[in-house]
Amino acid sequence: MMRDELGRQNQTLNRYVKISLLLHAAVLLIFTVDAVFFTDEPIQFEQSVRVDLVALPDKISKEMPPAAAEKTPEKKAEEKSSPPPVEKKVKLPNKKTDTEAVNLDKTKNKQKLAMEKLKQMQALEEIQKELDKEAQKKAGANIKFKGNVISPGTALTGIQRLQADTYLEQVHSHMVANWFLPEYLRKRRLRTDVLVKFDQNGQILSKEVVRSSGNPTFDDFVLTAIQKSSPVPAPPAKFMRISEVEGFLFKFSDDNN
Amino acid sequence: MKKRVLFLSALSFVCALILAPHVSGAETSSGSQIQIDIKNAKAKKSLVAFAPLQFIGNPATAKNYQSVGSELFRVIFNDLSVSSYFQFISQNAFLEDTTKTGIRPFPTDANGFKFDTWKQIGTDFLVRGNFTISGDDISLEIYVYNVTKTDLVLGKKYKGPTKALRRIAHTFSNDFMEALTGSKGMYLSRLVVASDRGGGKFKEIYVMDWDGENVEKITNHRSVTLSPTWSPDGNKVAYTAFVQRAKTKTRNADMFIYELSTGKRWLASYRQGINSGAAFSPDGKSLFLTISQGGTPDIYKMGIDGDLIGKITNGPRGAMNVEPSISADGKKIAFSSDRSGQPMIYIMNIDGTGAKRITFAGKYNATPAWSPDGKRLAFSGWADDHFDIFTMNADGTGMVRITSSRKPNGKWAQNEDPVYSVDGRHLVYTSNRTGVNQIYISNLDGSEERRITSDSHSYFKPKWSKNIE
Repeated sequence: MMRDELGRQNQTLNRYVKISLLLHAAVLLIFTVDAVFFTDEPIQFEQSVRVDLVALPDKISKEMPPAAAEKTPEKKAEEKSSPPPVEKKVKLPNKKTDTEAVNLDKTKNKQKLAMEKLKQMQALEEIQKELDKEAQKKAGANIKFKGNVISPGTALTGIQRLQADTYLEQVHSHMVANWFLPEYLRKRRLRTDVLVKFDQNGQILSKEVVRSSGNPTFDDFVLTAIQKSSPVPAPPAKFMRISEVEGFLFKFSDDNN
Repeated sequence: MKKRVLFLSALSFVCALILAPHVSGAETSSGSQIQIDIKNAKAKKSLVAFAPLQFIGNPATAKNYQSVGSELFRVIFNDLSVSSYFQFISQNAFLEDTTKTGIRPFPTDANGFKFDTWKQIGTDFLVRGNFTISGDDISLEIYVYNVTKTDLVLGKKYKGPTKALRRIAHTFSNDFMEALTGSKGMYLSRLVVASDRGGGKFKEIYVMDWDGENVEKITNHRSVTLSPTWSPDGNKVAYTAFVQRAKTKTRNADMFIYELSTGKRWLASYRQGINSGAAFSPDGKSLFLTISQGGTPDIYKMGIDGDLIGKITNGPRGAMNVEPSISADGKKIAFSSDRSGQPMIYIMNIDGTGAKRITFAGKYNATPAWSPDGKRLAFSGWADDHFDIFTMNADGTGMVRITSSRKPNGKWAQNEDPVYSVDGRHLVYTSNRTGVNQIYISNLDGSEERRITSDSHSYFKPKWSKNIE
């Protein structure tokens, strides 16, 4: 009797323990599911007191003082040093022609032409320098920019994923480096999408405007940027087929954010 | 978060194990595409070769041909420089003698220029033109070529009397901008400003081209005249003058309206106290102005004939509400008010409802001016011990300092009273960095600042018109 009683009690205990465990498991599951699949609403912190700012912003100069300071003396030095050699060069043949007694008029003419050409080249160089300087200034102002690479649907994980991202980032920065726009086309919210296919060496095989900006000149500058970027960084094995068959879609725009 | 990531990665790992054979095959044929966003284009200025304008005709019959040619060139050159789109190629670098080749390309004109010679020096745009003078008339034939594309951008003939020379040049600059960008430039716009340039202690109102030339005096009150403003069509100027009352012999700040085309002038508001700081509504039929009527100044709406339509602000007792600026769509008024203790910029609906403070920085912010697209406001703000120009979004965010300059004696200069250009690409304001208040123009970020007036007089509160064709 006693044993029976004990046995029955044990059985009921076991049952209750099992039920308890199951219930515990259920509760745990509910919390896990809740935590995993249902996100909490972020807590909104709102200001109850608005504090007046004390200072107005400083003027942001486009020119970066250290870079400018370094460059200007160099440029001046170049400018100063360059004219004398020009004169020397021109004078030298002058002496020779005197001794060799060649037709003076002809050589003088040639000298004159050479001088003019040198002047032109100098003027051109200066323009290029100024343009470069300005491009650098603009590029400098945009240093904070982070590459924005979207690659939906690549079912890659782990190290492969990392490698893929690195490659796409390489292509991105390679292309961005060649992305120039004239001032008169800026701030117009234009966007052109181009499908670019390239081979295993990165040589561009084709480029097709999938979505035009509506501004043919803008589209031209986009295509120029792509042309200048050939060859793009050679694709790793993972991307070889994609790059040649499906192509990469590049979305060119002038947005700064 | 970490747990969630762990859980998901574990789940995906399990799934990957199960699905592994499918994934490798499905990966490339998934149909999804690799997309890369290329943003942040680096800007470069376009290289322009602008050849001296050729004179066609007999120099003996038109003795002024050299001055006409160089003046046309100078005005266009200045317009294009201010656009900030271009860098000019020095004429020393030209490979072609532009006095000998035609102004049109080779196959069209047997003696025409060759695109190749301009390509060689990296030209993006080539501007070639010639002009004739017959009697008092000049006519300018001018072409712009896109050298890279070997294409014509613009080719036009302009004709007019010699006194319209500057207008002809500005009209071309506007047309060039339109052909290039799709929207007109601002080169036919004008400035109206109060100045002491007439001498003495008087200030009168002057109208001038945007580049400070062609100055015209439009008032002669022999008094202090101030705060002029343009009507939207650029044909009327409203201003305030301290004029003497015939009966009481006292001076009062009364508001006048002057019509430029007819020379008609009328007294629009002469209520006791201040009648000042007017801004036209976009339809040009009414004005928003500050009237004090013996008490503290408030903003009123008034018909251009002088009848009051309504009181717009009814600020807290003792608070000033002044300097209304109307947005281009006519829906908002920006104004300054000291209702919070210090003068700050506020925005309200056109009927005066929903006033909202939008500047909180600094100690004293005043003279708000809308950008033509209604997205930003320029104003002058007191920083440390002087005013500087700032711009911000219409909600007060994104504040940028435009000016920062010192006088020759090392002290900070005052930069005040900003106003946007009609194309929304430039700002004009006054600055006393030379010792007197002169007018300056800059790009929207404060770069490429240039002085417009160049004399020893002072200019106050410039306002910028639309293109007056």
